[in-house]
Amino acid sequence: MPLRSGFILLTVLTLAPVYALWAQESLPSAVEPSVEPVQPERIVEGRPPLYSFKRNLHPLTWVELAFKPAFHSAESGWIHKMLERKPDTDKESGIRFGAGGVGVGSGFGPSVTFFNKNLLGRGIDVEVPLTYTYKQYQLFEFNGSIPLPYRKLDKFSFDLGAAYMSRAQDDFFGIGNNTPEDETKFRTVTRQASAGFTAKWNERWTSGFGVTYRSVGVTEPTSGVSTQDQFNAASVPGLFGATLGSAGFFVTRDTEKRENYAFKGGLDDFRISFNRSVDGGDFEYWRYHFYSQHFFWLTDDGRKVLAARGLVETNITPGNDLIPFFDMPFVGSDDTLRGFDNFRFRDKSALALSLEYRYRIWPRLDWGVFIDQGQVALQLGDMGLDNFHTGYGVRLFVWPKPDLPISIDLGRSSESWRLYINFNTRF
Amino acid sequence: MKNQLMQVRRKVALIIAVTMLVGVISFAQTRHSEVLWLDFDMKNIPEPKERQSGAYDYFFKGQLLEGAKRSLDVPRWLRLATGHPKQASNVNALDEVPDSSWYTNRHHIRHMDAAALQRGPNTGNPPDFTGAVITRAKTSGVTPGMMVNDATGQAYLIKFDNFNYPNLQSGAEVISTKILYAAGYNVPENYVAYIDPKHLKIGNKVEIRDPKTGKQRPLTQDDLDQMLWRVARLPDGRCRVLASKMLKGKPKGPFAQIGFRNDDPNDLIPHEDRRELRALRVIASWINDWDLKEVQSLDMYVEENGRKFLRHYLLDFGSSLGADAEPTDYYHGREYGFDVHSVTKEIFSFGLYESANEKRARIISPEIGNFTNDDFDPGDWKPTYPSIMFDSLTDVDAFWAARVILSFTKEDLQNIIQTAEYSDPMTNEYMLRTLWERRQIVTHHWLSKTDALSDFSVRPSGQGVALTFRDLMVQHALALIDFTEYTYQVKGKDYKSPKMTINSREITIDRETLGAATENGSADTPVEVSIWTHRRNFTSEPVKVYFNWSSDLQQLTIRRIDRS
Repeated sequence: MPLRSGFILLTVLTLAPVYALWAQESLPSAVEPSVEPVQPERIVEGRPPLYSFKRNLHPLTWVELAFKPAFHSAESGWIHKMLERKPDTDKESGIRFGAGGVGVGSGFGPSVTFFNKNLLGRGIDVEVPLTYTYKQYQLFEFNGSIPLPYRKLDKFSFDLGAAYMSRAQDDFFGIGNNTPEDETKFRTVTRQASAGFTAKWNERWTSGFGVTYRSVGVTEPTSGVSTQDQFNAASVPGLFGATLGSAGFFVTRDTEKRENYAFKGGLDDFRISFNRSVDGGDFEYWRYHFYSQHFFWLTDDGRKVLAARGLVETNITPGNDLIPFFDMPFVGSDDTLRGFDNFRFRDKSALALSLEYRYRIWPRLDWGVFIDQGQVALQLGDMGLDNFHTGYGVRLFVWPKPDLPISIDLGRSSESWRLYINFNTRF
Repeated sequence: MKNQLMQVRRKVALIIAVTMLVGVISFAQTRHSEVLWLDFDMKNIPEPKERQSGAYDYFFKGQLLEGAKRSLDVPRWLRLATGHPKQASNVNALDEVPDSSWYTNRHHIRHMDAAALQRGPNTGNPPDFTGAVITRAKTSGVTPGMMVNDATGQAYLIKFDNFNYPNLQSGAEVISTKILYAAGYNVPENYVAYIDPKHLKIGNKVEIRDPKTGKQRPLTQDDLDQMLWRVARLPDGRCRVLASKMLKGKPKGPFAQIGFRNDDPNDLIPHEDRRELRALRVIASWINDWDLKEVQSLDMYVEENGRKFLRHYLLDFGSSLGADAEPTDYYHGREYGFDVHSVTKEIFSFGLYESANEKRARIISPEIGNFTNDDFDPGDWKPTYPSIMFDSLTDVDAFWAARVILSFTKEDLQNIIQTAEYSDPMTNEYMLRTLWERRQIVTHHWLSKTDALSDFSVRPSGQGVALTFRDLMVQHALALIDFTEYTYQVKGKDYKSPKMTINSREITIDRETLGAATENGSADTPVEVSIWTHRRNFTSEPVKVYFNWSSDLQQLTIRRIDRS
């Protein structure tokens, strides 16, 4: 070993001066001037030996080479053009390209949306968004909105929708608030049709009523241990799927403003629906869902904000009826309980609370510290202060555009660390 | 186990040895030992390619990667730990910067009279824009800009003042241009000029980016009217503008703030090792010229005296003094555009730390903007982006910059400020007072870190030799003479005199000491005098002054001044 080290040292010692000479001579040759001053002297005799060699050898120079094309593109190439591209809001119909996800744990993927804002010249708004994520989650939708004349409302419409959704590998840990960390996975394929009315009363208030038909098939996941192999249908209702019909009503109050600063105002959303099997199955339940998030400015300039949110959902089944497991509320996601695996705890009722202190650390950058608490139970009355699961962590908001907050959350819990990235987050 | 430990130790020792070796070799650039006043980097060269620069270079590469490389530079840390930071490479034997394609000694070495200071880089009268033709236009941004050709066909870049802040940006740019020119830098000819919009013509094929569609389209008279609606006007409808004359030669892009230009054989000194570029940080702090990123510089391929070479310019001083398109934000000069330290403090203080970008600027007046001495800390002054070039500044470089700054007297500054043609006489007074106070603050800060001695001269005296000097801090009322002392020691080959401490700025070396110092050396071996300055609790590093006699023993000459 000493012999080898000595050899390396000797090689370096031999090559260094040789390279230095070479580096010296590798300068481009100057064309001799026609008129020279009397004493054309230089303050140094040449470039410092090994200067470029040392810089080129540096590992960070290689990092630089790797990032250079992407950075240049963001500065003046196609990435820049993409970012700078102004959506043609006046365009009535066409295709929009973008990127997005299809809910918790789906990852991101390309999204193509065919749209027509004035179908048949009657103001009918039709959208067909198609999204496919890198985790093989798929969502292909058709949404149509037919405006109805009613002058007292900002907008009143009859809405029609259809969707095909494949969730390739959602997590399942069992039902209950104390399930072990043994993760299984399942895939759902949903075919859905819906119809309803939406009324936008003013800038803040919106309400609606609708009916939905859903056929949900549960199959083997694209990877991981299958839920269907580990559990049986007796302990997990709906393990092999269900076909459901629903009727529901919602009302939303939205005063949220996100431009540039770490949010203002709030959002309250209440939904109630009745769901039951339409193929003679055992499923029948009333769902009550309330979600609320509010932002409280601690300073007049909005640099320091206290953000709070709460989710409460309960499903009530008359008699011995059941609720399919895939339709149960859960905690464990970026918008319920951070720091835990996605869908970590499921049951008929769920409660999730978040408190976040966020503050501006630089123009276009906000930092936040948060604490999330959540629990699930058979019914709301079974919940207790001792049953909460706690996640906490830090959050960074980046604002590449005044209306585009990107959040990066690092959550920690007694079970794991989790990183969440959200584009255009609402909380 | 023991063998493994030995092997690890050997590897670590080998890595350290190789790193140090590479470090030492890398920086062993031979420096000229004579007093050289012209570093002739103006040889004929083939035409270089145009260099592109943008946010990648000054932010990602300049701030993040180069900053990280510097943090991992072990030889540099060793040099800093031993108190021997790498000194500038283009310094002559008298610790001065020779003339070159980068820099010309002007007011500091060759005193400029009032007329020369007021003229600055300008070679003619302000342009006459009657019938001027617009050749390019930029309608976006807070203030528009355009390229116009005057009646003679000479091209100018025109910058307008913001409607709400007449004279703010143009005044700042004129003053800073002239200060930087007198300080020795290459700058463009920037004139205060007047344009009557009625007499502007739109040239052929002038296009703008449509603000709504983002697409290029021809500039129309309506666009022009809308553009000029946002700019400051005089009561008679004319616009006062800053007219920047196009530089001679072919533009070859900005110069890099680190390394050199590979296709310029004249470029031998890494830019971060050029004293005039390092010290620009000190001079820029004085005039708060915070926008010093790479793209604010330009290499021009010029032809002079039959030779073609690159001349290196600084550009665009509209973001200096208290100006920008609007009064400059408070944080400029106090924080980087992205300041890791401030961000870290904000994070860990849970937002309780108030960084400079949170504070509001104090606007003195629409013409002055935010040019104050409030919280001005020259040592902590920051341009918008960190630069290895500025970070390489040593106390010795800063001392040189302080000498340059001190060459500007109150009258000099007054003469320069007058050329900004401010409308309010109070603006002139305020600018002068503030520039003067900042001059005192900057020079006090940097001179306090060194010996602050200058203008050494040596002459025969009755008792031997008298070495005299000026103490710049005492001379400029930056330190009290009563609290200042100097210790000196004479050295020759195999000889060191006892250290002596004096109050005056004249050292008398008697014949006996001189004899001992020169006894063992050859005839031309210089005598070395090391001088330490003491002020209250501070003792400077020594400045070493070397002198010897001419061959006929008739003349005493200072050969070298060394602060390295």
